[in-house]
Parts: sequence; C-alpha cells; structure tokens
Amino acid sequence: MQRGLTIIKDEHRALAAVLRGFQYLVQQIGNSGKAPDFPLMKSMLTYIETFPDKLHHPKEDEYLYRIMRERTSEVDATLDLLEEEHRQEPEWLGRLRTSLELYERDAGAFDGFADAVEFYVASHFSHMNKEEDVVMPVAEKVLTAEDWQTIDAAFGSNQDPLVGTGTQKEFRELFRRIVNLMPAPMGLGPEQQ
Amino acid sequence: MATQSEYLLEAEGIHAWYGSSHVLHGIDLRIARGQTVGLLGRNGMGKSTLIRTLLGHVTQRDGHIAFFGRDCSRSKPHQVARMGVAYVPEGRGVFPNLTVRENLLMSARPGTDGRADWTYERVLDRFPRLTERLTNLGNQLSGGEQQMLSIGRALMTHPDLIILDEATEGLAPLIVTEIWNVIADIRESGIATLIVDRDFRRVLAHSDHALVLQKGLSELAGPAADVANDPSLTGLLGV
Repeated sequence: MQRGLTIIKDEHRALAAVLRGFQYLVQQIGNSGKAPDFPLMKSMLTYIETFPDKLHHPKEDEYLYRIMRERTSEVDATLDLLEEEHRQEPEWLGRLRTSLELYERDAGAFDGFADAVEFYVASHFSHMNKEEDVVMPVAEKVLTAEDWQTIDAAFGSNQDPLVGTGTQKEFRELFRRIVNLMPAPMGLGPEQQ
Repeated sequence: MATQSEYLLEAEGIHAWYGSSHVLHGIDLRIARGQTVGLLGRNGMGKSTLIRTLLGHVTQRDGHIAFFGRDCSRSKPHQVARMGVAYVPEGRGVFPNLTVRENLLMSARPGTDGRADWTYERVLDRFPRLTERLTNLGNQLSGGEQQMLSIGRALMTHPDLIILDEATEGLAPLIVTEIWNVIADIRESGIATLIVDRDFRRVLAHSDHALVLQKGLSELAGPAADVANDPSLTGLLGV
C-alpha cells in the first residue's frame, strides 16, 4: 500500500479512536449514570473539531481527490459526496458543540446531546468507510508513480502542507491529554466512580 | 574498545536453534543510528527468536552480531543491555512487586555517550498518568499503564536502540494510537528502534526499513516504502 494511503488510514484510526472514546463516555453516562467529565469531552471535541479541518481534509481535497479526478471519473459521484461532507462538517460540529454546551447547563438536555454524538460518529464512520472502501482501491489502480510521489510527500510531511505549521505535534499533545483523561479500560485515566 | 561503525547493529548470517529445532536460517539485519526498522511476519516465523538471539537470550546461536562495531556474537543479555540496547518485551515485563517510582528509578543510567536527558521528571512529563500512580505496585496497573511504564523505563536507560516487541498487544484503540505517537516521538528524538507489531501498515508507516520473516528465513527486506508496495507482502503476512 502507498505511504500516503497508509497515513490517511492511520489518521482515520486516530480519529476513530477518539470518536469511539467519545461514544463510550456518553454511553457510560446514559447507561450507567456516570458523572459527565466536561473537560475531557471538550478536549475531545477540540480534537475532532480541529484535526479533520486543519490537517486531514485539506490534504484529501487538495491532493487525493483532485488528482483522482484528473485520472478517472469512475468515483466522481463518491468524491462529490465526500467533498459535500467536508463542507457540511462545520455544521455537524456546530450542532455537537451546541448540544454539549446545552447539556452542561441543563442535565435534562442529555438525550439531545447523546443523539448529536451518535449522529456525528455515524456520519464520520460512513465518510471514512467511503474513502477506504470506494476511493482508495481505485486510487491504487489508476494513480501514477508521479501522483503517488506528490500524495506521499503531502501526507508524509510532519507539517500541514497548506498552513505550514507544526500542527501534528499539537495534535499529538492533545491526543495524549485525551488518552490520559479517558477512564480505563478505554484510556489511561482512573476508572469512573 | 568499541570501533566506529556506520551501523549501530550489524547481524549477519544469524542461525538459532531451540534444542534440535533449527529456527533461524541465516538472517541478516542492519540498523543505522537513529533508524527505525520494522520486523514483520506471521506468528511463529521467528521474529521473537531473532530478537532474543540479538539480545543474547538464545544460547544455541551462530553468526555474527555487532553493536557499534563491537563483536557481541557470544555476549550475554546483561552485556548487550550495557551496549545501549533497551528491550520493551511482549507482556511488558514490569516488576510487579515494585512501585512505579521504583520501576523507573532502578533502571536509570546514562547512555553509552553520557547522555542523561531522559530524566525521571521528563519521563513523567511524557507519561503523565504515571505521576498519579507513583506509589502503586507494578501489578496494580492497567495494561496501558504498564506499557507506558515499560517504555518509560526503557527511555531512562538512555538507549541508542529500543526494541519494541508487540507493544500495542491487547490494548484499547486510544492507547494503541498513543503508543504509536510515543514511537513517533522516540523516532524523532534520534533513538533507533526495532518494532514488531501485528499492525503491519502502521509498522511500515513508522519505519525506514523493514524485514519480513517466513519460517526463519528473510523473505523480503528493504526500504519500508518498497516493502509496503511489494506484491508478495500480503501473502507473506497472510492478510
């Protein structure tokens, strides 16, 4: 598998781990009556809010999707959908953030918050699955060695190729904070009472 | 006196036996300073035996092993460890009846070149959860905490090479990802690493070079990007 695709999948797994962790926290509150950990949930929201927008989606749009369109029209419909989902992402997140703020002020708003989390997680997994199951197999067939050189360089960079900042390090530090706050067995934090 | 060598580790024609069973058949492996090498293969293909042989644990062995150009072909495990090699074993290997603090401090020593930058405080800063568990015994930790302790302990020996054997085994996805982040940090700090892990894609993404073993033979070796794109890889790994 090409390095660029491996990195995209690696970034998907990091995001998926945070999303599953978020879902787990919400289920613990809903099913077991655990106390909500708002600082942890806000850290996770910051991660999923900024990681795709700053580091992941721009590289997909600018490199993988664009180059794919130059080489084939086979997956145009899926790329249209994926780009539309990238555009919708801020709205999904806005809904999620608002519902978290409402829940923090009013415990009675938990159900709306839980629904927003489920919707967001399901939407994101559907998005990542389309990329991995539909786009990537075609990419491996149609892209040229030169294309891969461009994509591998973009995704292999330790910096955001568009913004030019050391964002990966920041994400790593934020991720570390999440892992250390997340209760065991999902993370390294103390088990919730 | 160690001689200067381009390679931190040079292993040539490594054979190993368990009793009458010939397990490794002439493996070559080189690791340059600061380089990350992925060791891949299905279960039972010789990965752990190769590591144990390099570390001096397998006594029935043949071939040439050198660290920093110094012949260690017949060295014992404690002598290899003093050459700047740290081992994070499968199963973590923390001392169950010592506290987190004791586990860390007992391993502390400067590197072969006098480096002492991985201090107790720096390790706790990198693994903040351990700070909250300093007085807990090793066997009171979760799997993820034990793995962080095991890696932290390895860093406090200021190694030139860290061998990570199945470091993510049995851990939750968030912790697995954090361990890969730690591996990336180690790599960026210039410490060479030899990684064994079932997630071959992540191994290849984090490695400069890779070696794939099959039935104790080196079947595929080279730059990680080339190994990743080799059509025989998935067949060798059974995926």
